[in-house]
Amino acid sequence: MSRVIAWLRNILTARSAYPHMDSKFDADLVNDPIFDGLRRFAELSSSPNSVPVHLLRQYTAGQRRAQGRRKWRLGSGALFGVIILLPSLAYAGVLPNSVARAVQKVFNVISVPIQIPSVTKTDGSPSKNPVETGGSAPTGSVQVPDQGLSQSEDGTSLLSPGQNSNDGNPESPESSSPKPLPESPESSSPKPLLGSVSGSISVDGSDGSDDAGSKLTGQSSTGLGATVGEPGTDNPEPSPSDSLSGIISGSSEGD
Amino acid sequence: MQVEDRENESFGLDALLKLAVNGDQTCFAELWRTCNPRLERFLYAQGATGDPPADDVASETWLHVVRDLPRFKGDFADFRSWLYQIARNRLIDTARTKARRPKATVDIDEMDPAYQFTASDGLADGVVNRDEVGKIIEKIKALPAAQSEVLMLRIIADLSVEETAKAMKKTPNAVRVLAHRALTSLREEIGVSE
Repeated sequence: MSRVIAWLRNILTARSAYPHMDSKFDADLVNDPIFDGLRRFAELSSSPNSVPVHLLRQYTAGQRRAQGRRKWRLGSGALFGVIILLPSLAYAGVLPNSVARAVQKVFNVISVPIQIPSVTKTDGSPSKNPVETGGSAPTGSVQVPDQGLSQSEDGTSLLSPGQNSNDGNPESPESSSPKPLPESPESSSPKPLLGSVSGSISVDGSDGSDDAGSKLTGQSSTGLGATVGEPGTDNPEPSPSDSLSGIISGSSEGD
Repeated sequence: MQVEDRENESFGLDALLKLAVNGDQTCFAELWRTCNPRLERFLYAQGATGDPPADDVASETWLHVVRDLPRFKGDFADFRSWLYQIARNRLIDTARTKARRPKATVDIDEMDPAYQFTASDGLADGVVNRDEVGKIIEKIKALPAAQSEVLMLRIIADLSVEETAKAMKKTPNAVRVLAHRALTSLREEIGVSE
């Protein structure tokens, strides 16, 4: 109990214990007789009464710089405002015809969509690049006949049976992943592939006849296409135009 | 009455400052005439003696002030705090430069502060007792740096506690404590009882 009382007393008397924390002490310090001489020394007026010339020159230069800054800020603000307001004024018909046309031209240029640079085609056929044409990307679905034909004509397995399960799920990553192409022992020349092939593989010919064609459509990962012939067929060397086509297409021909 | 006078004076100085900030050269000259003598004395008492002299450091301080004056915002009290803050920084820079420079000879001016004061360029001319002022400056300088600085700013620069706190980047209470300690030490030194 006595401790608490002592503690409370300490708190209550803290102000008087530390008089220097009181603002009343502020004036006492300055008026202390110890500093009489120092105060008189401080109050002397001695130094020259005119401002040095270099200081005045700097002051003028500083003011000029500040004015320049102010003008620049105002000018840029006004320009920004005009840029923001011009289209609205043009649409409102406030601006003269020629100015409105100029504004329209500028905004036409600005609003052109960004184009992905495409490979120039030598044969002049329209680009099949879905990004350029605005079409949709290959779905990557695999259409396999009911019999589960997943073999090419020469019996080489093109698709594993499990890949059929992706039908109707075009966004499945498995369906668009590159499919391993069969290596034909009879092929005399290696088939040029530009990049890995991804996309849809549709095998036509549900009856499994010889004239069943296989059609590979898709797009290489490099954005270029590649022509892949049927294994076992004499596929001529692909021409550059074929190599660059966006579609991989090939038809099966019987031996 | 005194408070009223001070308020009126402060109001006049606020207006003066505003005009100076807006580019009035006459008002700037008046502002300089108001603030410069105390600034020079403060710098002198803080150690700007001889190399470079107090008026050189004051001039550097004013050059900094005029560079940034158009962007200054505040009243006259704020301006004084800012001015002395710049002056302190200039002093620190000067001390650093001086420390890096090799000394060729021992300068007698740096040995005896009382002599420095007597030999100073007409700062005190008979109105004050030079010995008395020299001694008290010497004693104040012997205090820890922060305490000495508080006394100089409070007495020579005539800054209030709040202005001193701003100039030294401390709280007003910290300034009060420093001033109290400095005064106690000085009294002990001189042998004066409270």
